[in-house]
Amino acid sequence: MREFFLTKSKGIFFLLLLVFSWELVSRNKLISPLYFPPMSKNLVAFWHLIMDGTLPLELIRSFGRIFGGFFLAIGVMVPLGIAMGLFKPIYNLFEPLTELIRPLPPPAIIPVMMLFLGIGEAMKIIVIAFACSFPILINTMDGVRSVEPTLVDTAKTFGRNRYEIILQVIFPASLHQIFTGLRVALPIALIVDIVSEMVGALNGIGRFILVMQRSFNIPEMYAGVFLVAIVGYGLNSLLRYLNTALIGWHKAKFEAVT
Amino acid sequence: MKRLVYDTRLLGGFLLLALIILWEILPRYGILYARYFPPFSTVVGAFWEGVRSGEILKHTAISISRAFRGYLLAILIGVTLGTLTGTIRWLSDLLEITVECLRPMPSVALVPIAILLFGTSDNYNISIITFGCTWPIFVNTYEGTKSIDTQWIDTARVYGATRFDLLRKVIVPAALPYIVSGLRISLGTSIIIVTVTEMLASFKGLGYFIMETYNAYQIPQMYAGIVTIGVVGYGLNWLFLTAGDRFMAWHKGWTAKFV
Repeated sequence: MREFFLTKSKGIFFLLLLVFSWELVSRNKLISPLYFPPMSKNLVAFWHLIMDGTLPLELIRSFGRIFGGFFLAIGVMVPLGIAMGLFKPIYNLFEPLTELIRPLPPPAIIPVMMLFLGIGEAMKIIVIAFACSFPILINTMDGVRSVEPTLVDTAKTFGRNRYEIILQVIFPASLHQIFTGLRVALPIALIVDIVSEMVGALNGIGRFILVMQRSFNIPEMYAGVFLVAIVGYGLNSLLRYLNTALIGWHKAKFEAVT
Repeated sequence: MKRLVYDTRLLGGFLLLALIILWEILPRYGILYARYFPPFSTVVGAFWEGVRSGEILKHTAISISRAFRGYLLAILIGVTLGTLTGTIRWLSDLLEITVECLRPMPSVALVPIAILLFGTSDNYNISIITFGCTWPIFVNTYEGTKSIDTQWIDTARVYGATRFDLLRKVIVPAALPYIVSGLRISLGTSIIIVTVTEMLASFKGLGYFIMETYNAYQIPQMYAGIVTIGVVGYGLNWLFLTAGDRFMAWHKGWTAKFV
């Protein structure tokens, strides 16, 4: 613990200094306190909104959409990526289409989805799934392709059939790369969720921030932004933790073999 | 017996062709609601009309200009900060936690703050683009300067290189492939963010154009706008890779990173 503070103390000090100067600058009206209320006010608003359940409720709604779209993308794109990585004809079939759609910024399809699906949950889940699709698809494909041929040959020698090889060798061996795709996709899901809530939604954390700005409840708006920052940080840390857990297992199992 | 092997390389082209034909036929026969999903030829017509009248080109130019200004600012900040924190230890200690707190922040959550600050002027779009694009460049530059073989630095020192020489002739060139890979990620990000910020609060640009045509129920025009955004994204990425091949060929890290 002591070492932690010795190495991190400067960084923590700097962050606190920034927060403190925000407070001072705003209190002395060097910048408009209407647009930049003192930090203490924002934090009090944050605390109240957490305690009365407003922010947690909005967050739960947003999480439902984020993970709905994220898991939908996983469910479709991981099998497709494995198929494209293994079978040349399937790769040839879908490759030009993906190359054509990929450069499109995902939020650009929001109006199309609003036409067909309105501003309900389905619209957001589809847009989020669309945005998550490409990192997952491409990383799965790469992962399947980079599986050590020795592993597959060994399994063949031991008389495994095709399905067993895919399920027991290729899928676990490419799991590390698949996870890289998920790690790229999840922050994208958060961003696209906020955008789609700002463009068309009745609730959710993105909507909340925008409504607070429009109604000039500025400390409440900052409270929403803080929550998004915390969620972004939390998801990032969670993925990092899961990744080390996963890589440790992966290395032990597969680098010993090859 | 020899198995017949078919050449499957054209399959993808056939799929695209089939989808386009379906896109044309299904709305025409009322299987898809033509109001929401106009036939392919109608969208192409709207696109052509928009290009000819100059309206799409006008919005495209505005979007690209905003994206570029934000992007260039991000390069300036990202490369400078990345090089400094990568080479100066106390600076990276100082900034590390602040950066770790700000970096995972989704840039779009800052849209309302930027609107308060800048209204709907170009600076609103540019500030969000810069925020979103700085992180990949910054992190990659930092990693790049960290990855340098210390022998190179020692060798340069032995030959009497000053600090500035080191930076200019050893550290930055050696970190360049990392920097370039950050630049490539950020280029895509800049297109996404310019679209988003224009969709949310702007009165010009392609993002505005698709929301405006959506609200005015000019659906073929809306699709034409979406296609244009896709073309811009594709074109800029292609330009970047072509330029990269041309200017980065000397660095062995280049090909390794991009194949």
